[in-house]
Amino acid sequence: MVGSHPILECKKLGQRYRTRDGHQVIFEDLDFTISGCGFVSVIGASGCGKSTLLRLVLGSEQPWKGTLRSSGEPITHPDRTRGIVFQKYSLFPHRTVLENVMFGLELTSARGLYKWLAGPWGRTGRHRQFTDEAMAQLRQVKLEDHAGKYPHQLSGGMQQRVAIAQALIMKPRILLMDEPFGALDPDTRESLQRTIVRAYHEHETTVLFVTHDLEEALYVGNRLLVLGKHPGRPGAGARIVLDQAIPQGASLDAPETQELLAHVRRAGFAPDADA
Amino acid sequence: MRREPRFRSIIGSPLAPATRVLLGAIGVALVVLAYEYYVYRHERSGGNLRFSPGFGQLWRAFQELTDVDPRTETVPFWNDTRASLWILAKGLGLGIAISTIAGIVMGVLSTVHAMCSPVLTAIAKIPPTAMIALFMVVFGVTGDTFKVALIVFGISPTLAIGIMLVARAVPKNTIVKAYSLGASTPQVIVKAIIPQIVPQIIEMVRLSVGPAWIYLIAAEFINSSEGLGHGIELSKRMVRIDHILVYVIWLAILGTAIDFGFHLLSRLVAPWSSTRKDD
Repeated sequence: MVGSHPILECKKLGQRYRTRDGHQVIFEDLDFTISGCGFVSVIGASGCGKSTLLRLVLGSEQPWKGTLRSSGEPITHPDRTRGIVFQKYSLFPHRTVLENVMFGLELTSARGLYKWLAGPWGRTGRHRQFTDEAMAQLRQVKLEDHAGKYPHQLSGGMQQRVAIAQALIMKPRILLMDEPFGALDPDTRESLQRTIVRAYHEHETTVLFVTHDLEEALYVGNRLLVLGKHPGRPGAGARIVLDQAIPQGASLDAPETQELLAHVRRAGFAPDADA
Repeated sequence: MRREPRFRSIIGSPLAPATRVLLGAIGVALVVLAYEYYVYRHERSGGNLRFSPGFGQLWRAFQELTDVDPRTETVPFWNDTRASLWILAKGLGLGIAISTIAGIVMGVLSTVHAMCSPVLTAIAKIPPTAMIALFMVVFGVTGDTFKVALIVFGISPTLAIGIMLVARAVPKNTIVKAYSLGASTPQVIVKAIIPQIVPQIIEMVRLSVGPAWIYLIAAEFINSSEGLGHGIELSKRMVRIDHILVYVIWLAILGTAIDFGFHLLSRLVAPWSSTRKDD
């Protein structure tokens, strides 16, 4: 089943929200498919529905039009096949770093009454194994020395590292990231970008990475999806204005990257300049 | 304490622990001195010492109150304390149980919230002491039931509303996140939502102990054979101001101890929240 269907299939997808006078269409007629593993950067001006798209893929919101399938199955609610890293409030404040990372393992291994009451009593007998797995995951994001701390004792960048480890330990088919580094300072941001690219190569997962920073999108991703609104139709929703592979291994100064940058700026961010 | 060459304001400026303890002790001492001065002035102007007992007299009153009653061979003061604390514990326990469950259910389920929230808001507006007459008729004039009922009625609506509000304020991201980690809906409630709000629940319970005392003492004034409120009522009949004051000071000490107990409880069950600063 998983093999024969694309990881993510998005057909004629549209979303709108109710406003005081009718509806506002966020985007419509989105068509794209992610077949193998890939690192897809989604970019667009604010209000184009990047985060909305992510919520639809996650399943925390239902589409207005069109279909969305993950490995052939329609997406109805968030489940463990799709992990998420938010910009804020990604971690559970009452759990230590280690407990945050092993949370998913605990939840999915609980059976019977534990599924209901897996509170402090919820030792499932595989605690040792989970701890080892979580520590290995923490080593990958270089946080093994902070395992016993609580989230509020960590910096913003470290919190996001924990959130990444927390999501990756469940081996999701797709990892969704909603401007995960948007609140971080430039240095931390760069180091986290390297972390996520390395994690992507190690885990062979699919990543859907939403950002408003074009250079970040080009650095981390290998496919670029640009959402933009048509300048001639002010009321209409955003569409995919560009869906293109990102040249790998090229630096930001390379001519092909610069050309892509210029193209995206025309297509996505300043459509008027193109007309 | 290390002083840093930066802007310092008296508004919320931090103090060393020793300074805080010292200032606290000075505060207590000032109250004691002010009272003794008042007693002294009263005495000098020829006032009746019956109405202004000094601390020496209060100490004697305390010893009187803790004397063994030869008829029953018990100490009425400790009996009163035990009786009051027991009713308080029953009322608080029942009230906390009801309002925690109701608050969490309302906080989690929007339908229950929509249905119950207007009713509850209105009930919370009834002054609980207005219910004393009704509860005495319904639960009986003798016995503790009407006192327990008064405490439960007095604290539950406000407590339930407060717990509902904090349960609803749990960041949606953490709920979605728990689902994406494979949690079932019961797991989301039990493992993601409730543990996050435990410190806030304890804090609200701590604040509702004060009102619970009010309703207990009020009920004991009206009808009781024992309890601290009953003791104060008896002292009033005998015009023993010194006895009343001993009861009042004892109530302050008990209240402070209970308050401190909840403080410790919060640190014990939610160690993560005591060091947390708001972001």
